[in-house]
Amino acid sequence: MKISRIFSMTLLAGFAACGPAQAADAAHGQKIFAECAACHSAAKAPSGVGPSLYGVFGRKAGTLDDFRFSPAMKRANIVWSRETLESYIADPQKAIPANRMPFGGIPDAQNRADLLDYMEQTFK
Amino acid sequence: MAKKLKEVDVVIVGLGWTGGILSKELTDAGLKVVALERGGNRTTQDDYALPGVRDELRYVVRHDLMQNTARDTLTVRNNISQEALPMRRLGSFLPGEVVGGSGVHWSGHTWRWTDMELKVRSMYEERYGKKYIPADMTIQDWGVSYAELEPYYEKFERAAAVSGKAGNLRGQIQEGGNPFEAPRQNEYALPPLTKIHASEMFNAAAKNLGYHPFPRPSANASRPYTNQYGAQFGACEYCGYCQRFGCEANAKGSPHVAIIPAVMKSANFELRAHSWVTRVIKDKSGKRVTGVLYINVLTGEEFEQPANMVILTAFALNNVHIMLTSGIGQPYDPKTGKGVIGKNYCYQTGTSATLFFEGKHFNPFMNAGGSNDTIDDFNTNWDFDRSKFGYIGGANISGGFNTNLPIGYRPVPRGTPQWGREWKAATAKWYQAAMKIDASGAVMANRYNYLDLDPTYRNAFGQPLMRMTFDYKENEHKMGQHAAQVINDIAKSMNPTHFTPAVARTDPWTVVPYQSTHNTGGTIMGVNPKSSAVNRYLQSWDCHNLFVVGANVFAHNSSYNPTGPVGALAYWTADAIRNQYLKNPGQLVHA
Amino acid sequence: MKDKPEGLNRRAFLKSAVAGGAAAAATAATVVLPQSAQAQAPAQATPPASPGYAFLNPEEAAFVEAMVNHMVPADALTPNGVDLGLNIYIDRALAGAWGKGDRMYMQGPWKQGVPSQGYQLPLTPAELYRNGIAAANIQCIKTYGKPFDKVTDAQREEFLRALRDGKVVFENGPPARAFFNTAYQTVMEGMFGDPIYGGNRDKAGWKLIGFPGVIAVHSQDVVKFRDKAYPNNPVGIADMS
Repeated sequence: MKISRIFSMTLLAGFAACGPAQAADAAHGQKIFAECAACHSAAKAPSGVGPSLYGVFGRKAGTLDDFRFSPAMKRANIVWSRETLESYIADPQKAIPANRMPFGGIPDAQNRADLLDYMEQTFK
Repeated sequence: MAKKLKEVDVVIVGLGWTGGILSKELTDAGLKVVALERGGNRTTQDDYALPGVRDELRYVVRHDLMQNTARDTLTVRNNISQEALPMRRLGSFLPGEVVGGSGVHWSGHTWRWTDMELKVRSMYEERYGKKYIPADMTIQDWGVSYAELEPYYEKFERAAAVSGKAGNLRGQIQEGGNPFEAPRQNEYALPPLTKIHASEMFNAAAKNLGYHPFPRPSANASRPYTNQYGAQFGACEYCGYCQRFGCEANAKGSPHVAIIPAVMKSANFELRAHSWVTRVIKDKSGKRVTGVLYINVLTGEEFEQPANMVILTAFALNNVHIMLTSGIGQPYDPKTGKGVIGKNYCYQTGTSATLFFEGKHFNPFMNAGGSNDTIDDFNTNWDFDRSKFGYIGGANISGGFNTNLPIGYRPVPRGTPQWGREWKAATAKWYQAAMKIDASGAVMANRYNYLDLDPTYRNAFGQPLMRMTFDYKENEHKMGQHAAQVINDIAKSMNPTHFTPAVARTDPWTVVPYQSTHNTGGTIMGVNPKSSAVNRYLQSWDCHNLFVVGANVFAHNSSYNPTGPVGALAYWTADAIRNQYLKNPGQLVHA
Repeated sequence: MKDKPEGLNRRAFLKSAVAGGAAAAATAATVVLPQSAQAQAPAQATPPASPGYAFLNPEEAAFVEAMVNHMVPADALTPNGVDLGLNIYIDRALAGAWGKGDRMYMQGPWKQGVPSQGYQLPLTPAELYRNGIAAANIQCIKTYGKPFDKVTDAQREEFLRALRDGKVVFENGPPARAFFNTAYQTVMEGMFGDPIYGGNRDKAGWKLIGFPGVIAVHSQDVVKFRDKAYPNNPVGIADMS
């Protein structure tokens, strides 16, 4: 419950932050995805160091069959959408405390918007 | 009786950086390669994942990724008049024992050793005269030049995702890099890491004194990166758990990330983990090897793996041990100076100062493996006149942090009690407010520092342990005094609240505490079979189808970390095998 | 909010499963292992007064408790050594693989050698601890008329310093300094290692110095917190498990 509350608060903060960022650029987003690519596959492929992101939109967090998720992620009880992903990527430890992803986050709202554009185009 | 297996083209003994590089290059050349690795096969997703990997007790104190001394260790002594006794637990150095070897737990510091090392005797003789080199100092030229190794250095830096700033691009000195480095053809694979506060302060102080600080080149990816094998690196998280740990973000240039996955894809390659090679087998002529004997440590079964070519890539000390147990090459005798196997074992020396700045927040837990700044003014700077100090070699001096975790790192000013309320208050007060300046110093080869087989103690496989006879000599003491002086001058200029000065070590080398895993020599490379164990292509002078790759071929040790030339020489050897040896198997150099 | 029932269910399931297991064990044999009993109680705010010892006998436990409370006394900065679990850390370390000499080369011949050759005793850490405590208490009784845990604070301080400085000689025992060095190292391991090993309870050792523990994703922090205090809210392995 505590986790969910923090998550929703961050979510709102995330919305506020990405407000002015409009014209998102998927090509730039693909470059940003390099930050994720060492662990996350963008193609329909088995999970590696991190879970595969193929088909991530609409998936419940922590439910992919071929990956061992952290208890925090399994407990998070969220469904991945543009909004939830945006909030998570901004500051992963703040959004879902004690999750196991070793990544400090993408603080820049425009970069996140571009990345999500790319992810939507690629995984949807 | 060993079970004899089907012959393969190449057997690789040890799968770390050198084994990975040779496996890749030789499978690419179409050869059938089998790699035998003592340790298990650990992966980032299962073994180096959060949170378990962030455990100082398990990895730093209990050596989870390191060789197990219960199975095999060395005996040690400072000189030949002492009786060597077994190193009963690890301490001074920490060789790794997993797929990836010590490349899993290293910090990533990657240097290009210059001609000052590779041509050490001729350059010092020319500049300072023959008499400048002490009679017992058995330094010799390596038989290879920087210009020859340059492309291979670059190939390794690209494979390992080295972040740094060039200081000399094709002869042009570059602002912000090391002005004393040898010319590079190209920039580093990645830009330098973000400077931490302690490095900034060291940088400013060193500059102020007229020195030339620069960011330490390190295989910690400063940005996401894909290397020539398609290996994808995440960006470094400055997690502060680098040295002794596997990287959970695949941001460290480690063989199990950078190159082994690409080798594993080859149908020509087979990895056999948990396979302990006890010796290399020679044929009757003594000029060829026919394969290796190994034990599956999970079952205890012994196997003979016949091979057309054997490549030892099992870490410097293990390579020398296998050469000695295999009876290949004449063991070195310090009394006569004859023989080559075990000769010129070298190590490194060092000293450091701790600076306390009341009110500072250094956040010593926030750093990359190589996020410190460093100076080479008294190291690769050939213009620095060593005759004033009377030593050969030099010391690399740096300020900042690299893996300082709280069981091992809790600096307090001198005179603080070791326990009780006062200790606790001082620990709380100074933990965030202290930084260090360190020197890493070279060790020149000496006639009486060497490796051989111990007459008394044996390992779990019934083989003699290797015996290490080593101590620091006059050269290291003089260098240490000078390095301590430089450190203390820089430290004082920074005006700390308290300051524990650097002191040159004068005591004998000891097996505790940890000092450095930069053990070198023992089967050195050179131009003459009478004075070296392998030729300039790391090929055994005795058996032409045996190559011995690692820091064991270094003819002496510098102040730098060894992995740069270890990687470059691995590629250089691979090239010689592919382009020369395979076409015409035999001795590549006729002495 | 939806995660609540799932979480509860999972906890309830674990609880009943373990309870069933313990009951089954109790009927099959008269001995119920302490860890079953421990696991039976779900993680609650108040830990048991003492979790019990796996290695230390009563004399040794008294020595270790006195030592950790002396080295780490309670004050405004931290609770005392026992409340930090340092005695429990030491007990588990001695009972476990490390205490039993895991990774040590234990073949003779045994010779003292010179200090630069390092540890050369034919003792595992647990044996060194056990014999060291016995010898230390004999010395304490000789000097102060009482064992280590019963002497005054000032006497304890004097004795520990004498051990550290090699001024105490154990008759027919292991070298006093080797014992002290091992004992001191284990106190620090307990205080600053991860709480999963029984010490550093509530991460009080880490909070003392502001060490953040295992989370450590600092790619942004390395700039954001340059010469600034980082939030002192450490996370341990258990918090992420």
